[in-house]
Amino acid sequence: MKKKIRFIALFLVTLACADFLVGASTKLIIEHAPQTQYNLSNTIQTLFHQKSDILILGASRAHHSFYPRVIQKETGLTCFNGGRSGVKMDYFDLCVSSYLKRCTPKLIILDISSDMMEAPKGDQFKNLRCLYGMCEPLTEAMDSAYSPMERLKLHSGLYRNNRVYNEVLQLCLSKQCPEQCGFQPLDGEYQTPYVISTKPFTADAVRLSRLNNIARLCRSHKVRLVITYAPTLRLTTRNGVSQWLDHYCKTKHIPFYDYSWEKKYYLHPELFKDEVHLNSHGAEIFTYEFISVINANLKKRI
Amino acid sequence: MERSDIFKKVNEIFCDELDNDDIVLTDETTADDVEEWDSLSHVQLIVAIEKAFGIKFTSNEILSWNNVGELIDSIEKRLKE
Amino acid sequence: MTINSLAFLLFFLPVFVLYFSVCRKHANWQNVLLLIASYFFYAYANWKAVPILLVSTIVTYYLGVGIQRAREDNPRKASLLTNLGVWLGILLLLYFKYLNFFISSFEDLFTAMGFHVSHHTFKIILPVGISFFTFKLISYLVEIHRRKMDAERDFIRFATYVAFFPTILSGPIDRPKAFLKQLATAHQMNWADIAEGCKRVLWGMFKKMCVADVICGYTDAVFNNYAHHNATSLTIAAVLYSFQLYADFSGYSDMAIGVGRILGIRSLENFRLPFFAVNITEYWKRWHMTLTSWLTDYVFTPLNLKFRNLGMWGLNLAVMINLLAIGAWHGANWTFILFGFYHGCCLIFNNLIAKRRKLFEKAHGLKKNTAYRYARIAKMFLFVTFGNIIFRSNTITDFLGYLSQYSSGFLYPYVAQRVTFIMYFPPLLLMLFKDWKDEEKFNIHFFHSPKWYVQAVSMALLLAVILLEGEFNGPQFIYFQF
Repeated sequence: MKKKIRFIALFLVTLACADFLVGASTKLIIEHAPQTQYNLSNTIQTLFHQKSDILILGASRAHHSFYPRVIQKETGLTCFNGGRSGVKMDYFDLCVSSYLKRCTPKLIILDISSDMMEAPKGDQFKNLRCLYGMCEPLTEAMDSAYSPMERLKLHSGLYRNNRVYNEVLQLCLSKQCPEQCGFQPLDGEYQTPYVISTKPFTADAVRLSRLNNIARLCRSHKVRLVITYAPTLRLTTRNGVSQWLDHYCKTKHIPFYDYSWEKKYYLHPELFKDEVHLNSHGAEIFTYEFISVINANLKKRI
Repeated sequence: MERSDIFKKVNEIFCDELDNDDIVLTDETTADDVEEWDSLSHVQLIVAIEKAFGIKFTSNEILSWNNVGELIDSIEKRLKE
Repeated sequence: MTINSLAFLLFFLPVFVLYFSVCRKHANWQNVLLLIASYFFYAYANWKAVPILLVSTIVTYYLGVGIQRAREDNPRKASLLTNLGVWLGILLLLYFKYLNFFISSFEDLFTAMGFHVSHHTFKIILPVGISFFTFKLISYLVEIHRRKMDAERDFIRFATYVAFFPTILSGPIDRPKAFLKQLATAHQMNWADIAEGCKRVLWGMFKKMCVADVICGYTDAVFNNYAHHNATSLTIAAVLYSFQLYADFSGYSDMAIGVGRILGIRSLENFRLPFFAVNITEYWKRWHMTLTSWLTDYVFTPLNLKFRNLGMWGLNLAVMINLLAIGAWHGANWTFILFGFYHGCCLIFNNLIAKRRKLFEKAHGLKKNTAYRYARIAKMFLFVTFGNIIFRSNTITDFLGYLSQYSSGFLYPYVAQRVTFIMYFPPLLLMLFKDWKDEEKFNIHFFHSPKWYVQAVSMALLLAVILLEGEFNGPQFIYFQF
């Protein structure tokens, strides 16, 4: 009997130690994470560290379209590109909440694509679980999304970092590029011309409420908010997402800039890496054009 | 033919067909006991035994054998007919 | 619920406690508990199929008793009853698995001949585990008929054998005689069995969650989109798929066997280090062993006996029919038939050159040559991997499309995320290392170390790895669909 007890005890102690070590080491890495170009790095910067004057948020389209260095050079203001893929409007809502707790930026640019406004298929916080308990708005959002059993399991360092340890490791091994300020330039030129989608768009109710919350937060903190639809080769028409955004922004009195139907971009696939992302050359051209929008909005009174 | 003679002959057939002179069979021997005796060589052995003794078994009979002893019993029975 | 789920743990714990406390002195009580648990487990998976399981169990039970009564005095009646039982099982399988396939295939045939046929495929939902439990039922009747065993008079015991929850969904396919014997005695709590069972379950979970479900990210991306990948990616995906299939299926088998072991019940092994086979014949003796041995005993051997006077032709015909049956067993798709045909050809070829190869080995003293052996292992692996491409392809067109993509050349492989791709390899290599160590019998032991603390620490670390790297929302076990 004694042998069985000591066996089980050693088993449990080893498991607990492994759990603690993994949890503690991940927390340490995250807190001191260098700036790279990847998703987790951008999330860490947006949620914990950045206090730039201009904050860019959005999905991968934003991540690859807005050149902070160009904005900094032309406006003299600091800028960070917090775009990342694989997340919904809920994520950007808590980005704005945590950002505004730290500072008051001069401008927030929110680039919206259809997938951000759709209901998640599965766990939308799947790649963010490693941050559970480290950021209050994020932890609150996860608490409301998860069952009590799941929340209990997230206290385990091993379970919390399940399948994201690779991303965490990548933080340490990737090339550091703080000068890019979150932006990731893409190489390559696309050959195929634009496509038009006639699929009607409806915003999911929860995602819409998150977007409304972002607008409300910006208004209450006196932060300028602009919504954009950056250049893409996947165009929408009639009841598509850019048409929906146009109507939404008009009702909410938020400046909206739709670049999808600009001939300068959609007729030039060589400015794109693929159907939805500008390459580095395209991003540079676009950002330079966008400077005038930034300057015009900065001049406006809130 | 005496049972022991049948036994000896069957043992020889096994050694020939399975290419192994060290095989020694007993009444209780099964396929698990002989490395080369698998589902493929099983039928080869049956054909060789039928040829050597000039007899023919039925499929049901063959499938009902549990060990070498039962195989020998069947041969004995057939030879008496 | 799958064995690696929380739901299963919540189900299993009360069963385990009751099994070894209240029921521990009575085999009957333990069997009743197992039976109730098994039907609950099965109903949870697919409650609509419970009547099918129950009715087929009852029918087989009575047929078994009838066959035993008739086999001495009335062999014709015994044969008739056996054939009835066997054919009922086969028809059950044909109906659920293949009816829609036959309908669609005939429609395609008639359309190709120029006839317009309007068809109606039925809404037939495949009852889970049907391929496995019907085989158990058929094997039971045939074994009685062949005088290998007597009919089980205890209905509870028999029904428990058929529905035994760890193995009902995906095997191993246990044989009736040995299994029923185990159910006839009460099982006391045995720490060695529990420890061994837990180790099996842990290792199975590791294989499924850290190897199979992780690799499947790559293989799915390539196989489902082969037209956009070059030859290097296609080859890497094919090789990884062989390992994925092995990890998935043997992982599940390990978990099933492990759970049974915890309850003191030994199931048959399903895998014996298949990648170390030196030829295709040996491969099939190491891969999905319970299916292969079932088909050998009930399909191949009777056919082989029937054709025995046709010499090599008869043997090879029996081999081909057997392998086509293995292929078809997997499901209603022409790819599985082609898979069976391919393996049939490989086996036949192997049989034809067997004698010549033996002479060649004797002449060059190669029998104990390690390099030669590993060269054969590598060759066998390539043949098996090619067969797995057929197995994995959704249609024959996809398979041909996959092959034609090889013309795109061996360029830089598809690697979406470098770190993710590199991280496929540590768990995979760990799995292969363990198998290699077992095959070559190296004296390196963790789970079975003579030192208790090495055992405890290595089990805890493996569980930590599963929690950290295991895919919790992985796809269904590949063999659940069969």
